[in-house]
Amino acid sequence: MKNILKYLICIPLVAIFCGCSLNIPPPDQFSDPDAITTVSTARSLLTSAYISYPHYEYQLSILGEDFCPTSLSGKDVEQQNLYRWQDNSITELADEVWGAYYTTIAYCDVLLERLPNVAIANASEENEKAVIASETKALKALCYFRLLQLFATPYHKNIKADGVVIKTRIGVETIARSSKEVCVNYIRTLLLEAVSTDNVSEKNGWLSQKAVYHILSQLELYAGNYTKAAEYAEEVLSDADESLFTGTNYRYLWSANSYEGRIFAFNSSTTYYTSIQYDEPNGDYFAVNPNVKYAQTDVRKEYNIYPFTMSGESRNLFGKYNMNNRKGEPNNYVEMMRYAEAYFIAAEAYCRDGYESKGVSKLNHYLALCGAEEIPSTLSGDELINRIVDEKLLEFVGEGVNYLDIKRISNSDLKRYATWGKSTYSTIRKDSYKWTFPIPSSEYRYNEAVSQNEGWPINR
Amino acid sequence: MWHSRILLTLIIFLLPVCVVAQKKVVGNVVDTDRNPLPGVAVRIVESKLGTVTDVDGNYQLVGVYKGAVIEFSFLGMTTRTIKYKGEQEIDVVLTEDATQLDEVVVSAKTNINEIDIRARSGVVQSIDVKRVEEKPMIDMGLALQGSVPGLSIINTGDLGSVPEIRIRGNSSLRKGNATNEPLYVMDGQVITAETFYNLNSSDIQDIKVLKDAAACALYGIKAANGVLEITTKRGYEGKTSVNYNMNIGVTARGRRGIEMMSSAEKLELERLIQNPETPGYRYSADYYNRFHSTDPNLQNLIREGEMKLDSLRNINTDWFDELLHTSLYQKHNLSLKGGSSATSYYVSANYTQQGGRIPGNDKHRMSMRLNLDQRLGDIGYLMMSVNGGYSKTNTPNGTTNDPASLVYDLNPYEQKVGELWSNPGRTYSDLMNQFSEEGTDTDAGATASLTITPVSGLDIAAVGGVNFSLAENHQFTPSTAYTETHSGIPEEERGIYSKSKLSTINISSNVRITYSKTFNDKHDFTIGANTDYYMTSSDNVLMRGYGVGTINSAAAINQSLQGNRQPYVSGLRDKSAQIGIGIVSGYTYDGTYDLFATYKLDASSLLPSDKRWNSAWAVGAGWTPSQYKFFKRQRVLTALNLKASYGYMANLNGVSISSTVASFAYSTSKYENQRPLDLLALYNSDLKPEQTKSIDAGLSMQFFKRLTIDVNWYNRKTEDALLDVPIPASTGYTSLKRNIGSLQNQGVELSLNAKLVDLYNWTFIIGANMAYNHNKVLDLYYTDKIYTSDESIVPDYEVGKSYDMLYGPYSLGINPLTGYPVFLLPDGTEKQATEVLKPEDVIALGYSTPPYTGSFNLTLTYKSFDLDVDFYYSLGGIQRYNYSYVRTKDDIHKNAVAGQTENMWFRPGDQDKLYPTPFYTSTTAENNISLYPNSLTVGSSNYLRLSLISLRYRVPPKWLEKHIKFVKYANFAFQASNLFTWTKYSESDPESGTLAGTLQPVYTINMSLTF
Repeated sequence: MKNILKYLICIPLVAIFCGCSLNIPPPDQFSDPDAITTVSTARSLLTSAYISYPHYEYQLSILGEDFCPTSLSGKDVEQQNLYRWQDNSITELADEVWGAYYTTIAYCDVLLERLPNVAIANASEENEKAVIASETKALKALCYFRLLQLFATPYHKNIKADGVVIKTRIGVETIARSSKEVCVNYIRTLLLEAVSTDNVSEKNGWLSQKAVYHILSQLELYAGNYTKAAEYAEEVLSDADESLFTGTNYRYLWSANSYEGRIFAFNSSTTYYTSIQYDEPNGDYFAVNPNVKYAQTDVRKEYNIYPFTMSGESRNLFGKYNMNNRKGEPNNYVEMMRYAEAYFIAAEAYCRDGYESKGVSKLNHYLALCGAEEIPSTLSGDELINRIVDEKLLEFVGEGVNYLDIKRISNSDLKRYATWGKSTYSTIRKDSYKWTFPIPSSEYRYNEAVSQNEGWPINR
Repeated sequence: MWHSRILLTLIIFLLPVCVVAQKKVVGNVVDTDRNPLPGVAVRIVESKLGTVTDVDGNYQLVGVYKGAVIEFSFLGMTTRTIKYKGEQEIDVVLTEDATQLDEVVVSAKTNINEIDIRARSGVVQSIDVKRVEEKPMIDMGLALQGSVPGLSIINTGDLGSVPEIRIRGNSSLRKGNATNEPLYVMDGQVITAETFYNLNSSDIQDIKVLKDAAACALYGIKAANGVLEITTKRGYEGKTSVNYNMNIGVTARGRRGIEMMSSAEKLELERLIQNPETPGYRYSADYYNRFHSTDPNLQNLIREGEMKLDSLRNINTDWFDELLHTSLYQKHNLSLKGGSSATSYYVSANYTQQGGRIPGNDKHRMSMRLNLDQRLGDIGYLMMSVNGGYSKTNTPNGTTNDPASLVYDLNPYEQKVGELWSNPGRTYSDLMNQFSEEGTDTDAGATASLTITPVSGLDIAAVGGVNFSLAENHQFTPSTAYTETHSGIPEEERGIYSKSKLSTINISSNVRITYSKTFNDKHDFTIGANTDYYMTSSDNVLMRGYGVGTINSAAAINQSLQGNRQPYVSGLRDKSAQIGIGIVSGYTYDGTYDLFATYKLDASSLLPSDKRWNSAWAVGAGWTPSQYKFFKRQRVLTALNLKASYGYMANLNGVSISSTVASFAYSTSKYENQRPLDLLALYNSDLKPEQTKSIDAGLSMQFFKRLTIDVNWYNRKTEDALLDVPIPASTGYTSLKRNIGSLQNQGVELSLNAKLVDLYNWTFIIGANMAYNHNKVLDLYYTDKIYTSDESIVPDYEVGKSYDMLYGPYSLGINPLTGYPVFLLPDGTEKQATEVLKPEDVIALGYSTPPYTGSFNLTLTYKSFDLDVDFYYSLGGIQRYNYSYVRTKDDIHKNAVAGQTENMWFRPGDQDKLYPTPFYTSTTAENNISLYPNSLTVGSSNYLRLSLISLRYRVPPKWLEKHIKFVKYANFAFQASNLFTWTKYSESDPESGTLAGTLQPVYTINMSLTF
């Protein structure tokens, strides 16, 4: 009997403990430590980071000189309030922007923490691993750079002042904002590490070595290291085929396919720039600022502006992505880095470094390729810089570039127009606190160490 | 009984000669529900003579003599002895006795975890299944409301919505069912909540509610929120009996709640609010005088406008009557049971259908069950069960479509034809048939359990089972829906079809060995060990496609669409397992002192291997002074039992592997030629299970063998409580699951049962119960307040405060000058609503979960009539008023609450108004009113509900035998559920707080026939 009992007790116990292992990997999930161990999973994770990169080009264009209100602007009070730089609209936008860039940064950090464990089988995988590391660092640097541009005061105004929060790892940290100088150094380090990998990309959606040079030139211009900025811009332009992005080929920059004439553009499979449209038959909430005027011969005019009849007159609605949407064509690429910008960066950098004629001729070279009016060589000083920024607006209208430029230069007030830009509704002074986005409550509420920007409330 | 005594006295007087002879006695044995009890052992004590009752509970005992003691005993029933005084017939009623269940050597125990000793020191309460079955309600979960104190059940919306079931409150700071719902175990097999909601109440023999750690510890880590143990009906030894039970009736509209405006009042309000999009203003003289003052035709226009208004005033559509409808309820249940001494069976089939309040909302359920029991010689039992069920819920309510809300939106001057002012550009038919959702649950289960007793006192039991459930959800928006035709969507892309399937497989196996031995008739020892294994695997697939037109089928999806409307497929599979080993021991001395201890070790696949094992343990003690001899001498306090227990348990509910380690899954987006791998959540590798510690004390008293009072006190503390806490946005995420603090649930439960009349023909029993639960945040590890939203000024969790408290400012009413409220601050100063509120400006307004709930009931039987009446009440809670029916200038085109015109502030100087200005003048004030409740926008959610009336007539068996021989028993009843709710709450439903959802009254006629 005792034997029977033993069996009765032991058999089920043995059966349970042998048959039922608790190491159950989720069937369609990958968990650490086996999750990111190959270059292909690492690339997939990096892909997520690219997709998560936020696009606020439209909102930044509303804040900049790019647009003026139309007869329909009142139909969307939120957009109208943002155009008028109302505090609560900027606060809301800041909250979104802050979280969104840090999400991309978190993805990059997750990948960078796991990259050392990625096994490589051959030279091509080794190369791919290095490329992934380079792209991840560049993407992360790009996010930090945008955050710094938006959430810190212009760089030249006290470089020791607060910049943004530099994360040291993935996860919860309550750390203070680093100074703008520290931030720039950090971003520069990331970019210099990234640029050391020789990386040529076939598709526009991946950050190549050239793209990293491009971000470096933007960063140095921002930080006032004009010689460096010009050097990097020239590096970008060094082997560029000018015919690819000027003249009649300008149109390919707004086409749905990957194109050699771009340096880098985010690939997009969702809708883009649809918020500007009120509806198909009636028009848009905003039109292009009437000060944005193209010469008749300028090839960019046809693609940057979309003539449309609103309130009984032909109006200059925004072209580019908006034109594609109106024509029912997809926007598969969101332009981020174009060769044109390198001319503008180089031109501005030369001028600021004292080589004004070199700067002017650099820019005029590009403008001539586009069939645009050249800028007079008689201009100098602030006037010249402002003219370069105005020309830059013609090139990058609607791409959110102008707002960052006028904030960076901060030498003039910003006008907010009434309908169709016929009169001035209000003026944002060049020293207004509103130029610097507020640190959102979603940060300061849970991070005691973080400080608020001047002029904005903090309600812990 | 009394008349047989009189008869006996007469016989004694008439027959002075004492006859000392052996006699024959006949009789019938029934349970308290008057159901015949077959197989009752009837024997003469101190002799070998005995018999058993037949299938109808009848017996015939020969050889009885005057003065003999006749004993009636039956498994699970209190043994009764009667001194024979010469009666020819003795009918006996046996009452149930849960503590007796294990006394028979080989007992047919369907739930092997049901160990007698745990009930002596732990809190195990039985639900009166008979009353649950009497309630004509399709949802099993909701029918349990009020059945046991401390088992809280809250209806959350329209018919088919998942109820909120809790045992002694939320043990976690995390809200929602996934983390706070009890464990459901049916015949020893873990089942999903959905399977439980859809059980057929007619198949259930017994439901036990396990509340404290001593009772739950056997189940380990899964049972931190308590356990509901369900035992299904089994066959018996005897002739096959077939029962057909049918309810048929109607469901009513339920409580109206808010009285909406008449046409005349609404048009007048529109005139005052001056929105030109409303006819009351658009056709008024005010409008023409303002906008057409120079028109030479002005007087004509005014006259025409007045005529138009007159015609509108004459229309008075009651949309409550138009939109809500009465519907049908029906339930059919067929069961068959019987068997031999070796094999017995129970088979049942059920169909139930309940119609909802709004057209398109209903629920159907079908289920089948087969329970087969086989005795294995003298040493054991093999029990097998197979069950299957299918339920379907239809609703027209979706996230963007809510016909129930139209009761409050549509104007009384609107009709089912013509364009609606309340919904510009639409007609009534544009609002109906816009969306349909169908949810089905299919479940199937098989269980086998083996119990053997190789030597006396040693029970070895094993149960293994599989439960499969498939939840499907299907949504359809036709291309003709207004939202599709008016959103700029090209025609070929219109119409949305989506379908999701979630299949879940639960496998459980459990082996238990228990040894019990009694020494010297005084020392009862029980020791036991068990091992268990639970595995849950789920597979979720969702597909959504567009361009289906009006064809409600996946086949019609337009596969050529690109961009936002391209076909979408996603899926998620999950699997987790848990292994446990446990020991249990108990000791009872002389039936007076009980000691109990249990220890369980569980490992879960959800945790990293170094943190996998977690323990649960409990100790308990019981004392029954009424067992003392001196106690038995008095007849007032006839039973007294005290018990106490302390236990510790870990809780992992709601934790998935992605919360502890970085987990990635492919997402449905695409980028260049790559597919992205997403990090599922920000992980916390320091995550620990929640630790629950509970102390319980109970007192049970019985007076005069008629009045029973049970009191239980508990204090349950949860440490390392988990919560998704907000984190700085610079982490890239908004929340992280963390062990954040400790909380406490404290409460008292009281139940009372009094048998006021207990005669053979008359019984009158009243019962009442009440539960009080108070919860408090004891500690938050990183802070003293947690705001789950960065907008809120009121902390969601604060040390020292209850975690389901509603906070808001105290309102002094509407300021006659501004039209916005004035708040009285805690420091005695006043603040206008137009100023920004600060955290220190708010006070606790009340509990959102009512702290007091309970029920009272009465049972009256007279001869062949039984009456059961149940009431359920909820006290001490508040609900925030919806107020969506109070209109402002922006939404005055929709109907408004009656009386708004006189209660609303319109111009400076308007005194004593209830509603603020309809004209938007201050963003801060509008935010203060809409974001936070205040003392005037909440109402007490106290209510008393008449939840059951059942009046039954049992056709006398003798009459049946004479007239309809093939029918053994026949019952007819009127049964109704949720008949009426008394409340001061001014909206429609104090329970769910929603405008749409209220438990609908159901009135039915019941017929039960046994063949």
